[in-house]
Amino acid sequence: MSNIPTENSSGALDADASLVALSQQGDLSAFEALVAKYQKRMLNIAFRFLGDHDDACEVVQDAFVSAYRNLRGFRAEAKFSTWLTAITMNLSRNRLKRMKLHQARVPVSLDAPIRTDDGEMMPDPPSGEPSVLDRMEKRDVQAKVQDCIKALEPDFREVLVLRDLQDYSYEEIGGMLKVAAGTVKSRLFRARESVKDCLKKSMGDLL
Amino acid sequence: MKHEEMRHKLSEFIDGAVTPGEKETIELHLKTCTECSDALRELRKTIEHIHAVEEVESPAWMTQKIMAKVRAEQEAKTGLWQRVFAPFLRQFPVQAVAVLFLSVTAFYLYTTMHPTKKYAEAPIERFAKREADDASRAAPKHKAPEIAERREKKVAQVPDYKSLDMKYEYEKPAPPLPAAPGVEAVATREEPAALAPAPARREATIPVKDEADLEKRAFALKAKKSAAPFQMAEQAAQKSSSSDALSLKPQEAASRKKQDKAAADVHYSLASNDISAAISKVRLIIRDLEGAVIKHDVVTNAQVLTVSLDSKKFALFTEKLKTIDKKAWSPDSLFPLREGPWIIEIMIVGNNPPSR
Repeated sequence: MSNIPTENSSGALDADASLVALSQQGDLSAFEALVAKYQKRMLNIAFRFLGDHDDACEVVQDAFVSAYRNLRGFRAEAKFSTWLTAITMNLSRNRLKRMKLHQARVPVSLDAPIRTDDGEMMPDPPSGEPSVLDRMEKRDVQAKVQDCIKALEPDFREVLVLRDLQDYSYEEIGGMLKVAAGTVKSRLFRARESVKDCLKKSMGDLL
Repeated sequence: MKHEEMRHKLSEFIDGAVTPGEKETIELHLKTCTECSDALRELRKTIEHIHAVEEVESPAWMTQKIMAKVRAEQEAKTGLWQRVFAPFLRQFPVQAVAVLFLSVTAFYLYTTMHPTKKYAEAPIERFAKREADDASRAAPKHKAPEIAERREKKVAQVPDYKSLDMKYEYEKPAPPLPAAPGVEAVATREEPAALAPAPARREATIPVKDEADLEKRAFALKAKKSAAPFQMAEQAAQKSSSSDALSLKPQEAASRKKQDKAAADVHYSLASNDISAAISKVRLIIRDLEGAVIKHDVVTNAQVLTVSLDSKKFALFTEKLKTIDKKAWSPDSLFPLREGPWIIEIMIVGNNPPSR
């Protein structure tokens, strides 16, 4: 496990630490630097988890405000990025619950329009014909992957997003989600298997 | 490790999160198990697809919007009180402010209460010693008022002092007159009251002990006859119940308390072989100087004449008294002379009886 690459180098850590220290003293420009540095990553985490760009943007804004509000309680022994990710994940989960309250949970339909950065698009119907797969463009594959990720249960989805999209270690993920490393491993295995099955179903063949 | 178990470990195997032993076992198994090797291949491809997902870009307005919310949050949190005091508290922690406050308070209390001074100067010892010194060497006249003044001051200020003074006062009175006529303590106690007359009396023909005894008897008699004249301010403060004690005090108080006309301003002590002749001479002198005899007391082996005389004729009176007894004491330098009539008490004692 120790050979799992971690995202932040020590240099980045030092830079974060000084920015955090300044922010704790009320330096807003230092906090703005942290916002500029991490907003994209937080947006991607929220977006991959929620599957909705607008909701993800709101969650990210709330996450940074919440981080600023609680900055005095932040201790230097943790990484700021890890702490911020945990906040973002927590807010994302809360938002997902609210979203579920408003709309009955609809099982992922492969026929439903897929929302992408460029707007909505209709997914190609799953087909076992290689000729169809050959024509599939890269963006289509990504849409399918996103769709398959979105189809996962939240507990599995968040582990997959953090590990395979954000490269956090098992320990870091366990710390953020307050679960044991063994739980992270098993959830990750099941999440990957589910996505694999989903992709196989939608693309016919992974290769 | 069984097949299914290894199948579950493939995810960790890809991440390199298995132990070296597990890794070796799985690698061996993969060579023989097609299902597991296919699963591994598919899993790797899946992860590859997931990694290939492009990141979404955050909107350009994101940073500004977040910072606007953060500033709004800060504004809401920072009230007027915090704006004024937060920088101060940041520079001076609450603990430092508390310590400073306690220090200032403690110093103020210390300087106000003078605790060390209070215990360093035990009043009873101080006054007792001073009094004894004054008595033994017949202190200069200005000491007595000073002591009386201090005593009054202390009594008024602190209850503790009062109680200590009271104790002192209880120790002070002489033993009952007839019981201890010649005790040394009586003489010494009497002297501060007598102020300056003491040395002159020592020089008189009568020994100190006898003189003390006689004087005491004389004043005791006077006290019985007219206690009021001798109830001076200081005695009132002392509230001594003993008339004997009172009799020892009049001279001291009389010198400066003029409320009572009968209280003597000055006391004389003469020694003569013939008391009656001496009394006649004194009466003549008084008449010559246009004074008046107020009272004439007779006690054993002594007579006391209380007269009224103008202060201007005092020096002359003293000179004339010396014709009766050369050692008659001259009080010229003693009192702050005041204008008007003075009350003078002349005690004439016989030379012959007790000692010598």
